[in-house]
Amino acid sequence: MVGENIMTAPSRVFVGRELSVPETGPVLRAFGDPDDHLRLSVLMAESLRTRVPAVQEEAGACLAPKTTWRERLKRTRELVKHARPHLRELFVLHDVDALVHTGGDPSRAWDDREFIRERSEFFDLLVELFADGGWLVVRPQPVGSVTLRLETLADADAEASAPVSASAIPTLAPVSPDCRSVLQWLLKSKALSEEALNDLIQESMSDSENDLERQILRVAYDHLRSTVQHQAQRLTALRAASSLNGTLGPYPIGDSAGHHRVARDDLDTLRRCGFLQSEGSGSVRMPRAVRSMLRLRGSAEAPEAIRDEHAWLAERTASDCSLNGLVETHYHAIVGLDPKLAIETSRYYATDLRELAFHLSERREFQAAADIYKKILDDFDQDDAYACEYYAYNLTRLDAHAYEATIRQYYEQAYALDRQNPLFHGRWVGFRGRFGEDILKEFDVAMTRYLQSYGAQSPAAVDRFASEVLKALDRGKQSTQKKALVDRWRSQLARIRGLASLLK
Amino acid sequence: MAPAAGDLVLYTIGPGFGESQVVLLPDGRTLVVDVCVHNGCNLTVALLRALGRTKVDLLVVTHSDLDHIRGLPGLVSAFRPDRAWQFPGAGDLRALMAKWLRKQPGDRRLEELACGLEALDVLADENTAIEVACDTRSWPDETGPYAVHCLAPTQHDQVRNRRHLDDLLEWDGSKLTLPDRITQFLGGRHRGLATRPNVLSVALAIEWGSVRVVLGGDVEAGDGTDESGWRGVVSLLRRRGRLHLIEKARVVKVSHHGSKGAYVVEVWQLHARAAGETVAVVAPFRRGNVALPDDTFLSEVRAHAGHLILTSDGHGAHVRARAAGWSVSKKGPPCQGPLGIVTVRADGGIGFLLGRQALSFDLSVRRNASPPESA
Repeated sequence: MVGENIMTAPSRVFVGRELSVPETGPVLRAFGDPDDHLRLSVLMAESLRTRVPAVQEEAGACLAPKTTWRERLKRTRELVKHARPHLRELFVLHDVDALVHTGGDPSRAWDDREFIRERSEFFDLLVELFADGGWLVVRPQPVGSVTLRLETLADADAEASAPVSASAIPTLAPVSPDCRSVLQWLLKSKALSEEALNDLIQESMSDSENDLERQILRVAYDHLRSTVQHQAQRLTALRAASSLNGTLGPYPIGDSAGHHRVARDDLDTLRRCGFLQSEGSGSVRMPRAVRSMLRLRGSAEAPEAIRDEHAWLAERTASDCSLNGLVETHYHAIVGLDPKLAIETSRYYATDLRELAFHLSERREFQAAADIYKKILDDFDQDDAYACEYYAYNLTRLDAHAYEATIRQYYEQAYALDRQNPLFHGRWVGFRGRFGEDILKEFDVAMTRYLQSYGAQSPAAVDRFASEVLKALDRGKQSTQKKALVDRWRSQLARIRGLASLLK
Repeated sequence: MAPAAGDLVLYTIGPGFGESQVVLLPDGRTLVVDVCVHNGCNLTVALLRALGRTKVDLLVVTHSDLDHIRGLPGLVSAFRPDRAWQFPGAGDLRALMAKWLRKQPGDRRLEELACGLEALDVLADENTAIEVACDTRSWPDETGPYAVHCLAPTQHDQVRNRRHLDDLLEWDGSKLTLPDRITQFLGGRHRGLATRPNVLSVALAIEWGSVRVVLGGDVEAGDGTDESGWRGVVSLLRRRGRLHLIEKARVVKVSHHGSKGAYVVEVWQLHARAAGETVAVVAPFRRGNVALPDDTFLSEVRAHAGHLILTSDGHGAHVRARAAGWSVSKKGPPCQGPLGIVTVRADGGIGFLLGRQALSFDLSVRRNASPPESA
């Protein structure tokens, strides 16, 4: 398909499962994982590099691990725009909706702002690129906000192009194509009567989008035996489709479940209930909504078991030298908490090492976490605000006095890189207060600013800033300064739930 | 539904903290609802043994409060029920408790709850236990002489429970954070859900010919809408054409120990039989400042029930019942334990037998009259 001035096909949008979509180009898939934007940008670059010789330079920049996200985004835009005249079809993108943040109120997620922002920027870029043509966008689990964004696309009449014959079984129509098998199972097994479903539909009408779907998945989950629930949680480690031919992907299938082994009965149950769905050519896949629900429960109930699966998968895929194999190994090494392999496989990007460091820190492995953040800053992106912040934070947890100078340097740098972040700001101010520096004036200015910006009635920002400062003053036994600060702001701080214990 | 030859006997255990019912069904099968432990003794297991029972045909675990679930592992290992019904959402509860206990080990209440859930998991893995709610198919089936129906929780209450849980968790797709107030959600009072486990409480109706027995679990009034709590049960049964399941009940095991929040007058109007023939059985409860049954319940239920059984005298319950206008009608012949026994015949005839700590009351004043001013 390489050539000059080829008429690029208009982009098309399909609402439905991919089984029914004729694939017309290299396939990309979003999984709803934190690395989606990084992984997809690399896969796009590699694909275009091999298909269009004229875009080698832009592709190279997108494939270089030290390219910052902002630069990578800019280069990806240029790369696709330059490649487009050479290709009639660019990509098939499965599940664009997975790129939209659905993890609750993003304004509360001061910690995760960068990932959320990066994913959002990548989504914006894709929408921009769709408009230029050449994309087939498959939406097995549509989200309203994405539908609105795609409305401007030519030939984007989602319902008209929906290949799944929802009308054939009207009861299934209210849920997205990816979840219809689950509902079908509930009705067929009489775990949910049609009357009960109607009640559920009524209940879900007034709430947020996709609430009905979430409710249905929860009902289905509740109807599974706990062993099947646990098996399903572990299988969330497989994010791509897996072949089912005597084994499930890399997993042997046996009469009973075991270490890295799937029980035949459990597998049958998961297929029957729609938690694993057939794809073409003898493979199965877990729908994103199901995987997301199960990952939450797995991370609460058996995080070590889930990590163990990822670590095992990382070892299994480590010998796959393809680009896709490498990024998958990298992903599994990160979730499986294998720092050595994760760093070794940071061949194309490394900011997702933050995830690894976060989980190490959560396990109180502060030195290992600090080492990873330092690696990110030294080898990949010295302007990564999150890495600066948490390098300092983990050193603080290790020994605030021993590393005082370094901590100051990196807390300051993090705040300088992200001046709108009250959490980073609170830690920077608080740390200096902890060591006896007069921070009252700075606290006053910041509180005034956050109250004006975010409002006393929506206090998440004020909460994060103030609580970090108060906690730091407590740690440093700076009671006089804390008293002065609390006396001045007591009425505002007292309104914030969760701060009461810090005001004593 | 042809009446069987045998009687239906309801044993209600209620020592003051904890409650359980053992029902000997007309065909000789045994239904057990919840498990009760008192002073280290598993009263439910002891009763089953005293009755010479060797198997439990259906075990129902109404909700995840310790006063209903404590002792469950002992019962399961001793009797290995043929079938078990459990409240919905146990998977979520188990996952959250596991995470919380990793963060703050040593919470004995949650550790006990986790043991109870493990016992249920064992049954579920043997395909014995299922989660039930308002629309679950009845047991044993619709064609036998009697059927046990699940009345609650409603879809509405299950949905609002899940939504509250979702609001509480901070989950970004890879990191899960549990706020401290999750402990309130797991076992205590939660803003917006009142006593959360009760929102998901199972309630049952036994239909045997024209006889109805209602076992109310800890179902409360709910969120005030017509789809929640007892009002939700009534709306749902009306929509399904099954309101008769709670109408003209011969015996009602009063829900939530006779709390004010569980007393819904329109539901009791449905329960009530003519001439005060409905028997209300209450397992009293005391924890901290909360003493149940509530005085309002004791007074107002007189308009609907002609007999009241209190399984123990926890915290002046007997005196307060007298103050509310009830008079003692029967003492003994006593059997051991905090126990109320009601025998129901196929024709609706009834008999009582009470434990040493229990008292049965009749109305001391005419129905609808005000109670005396003082005890």
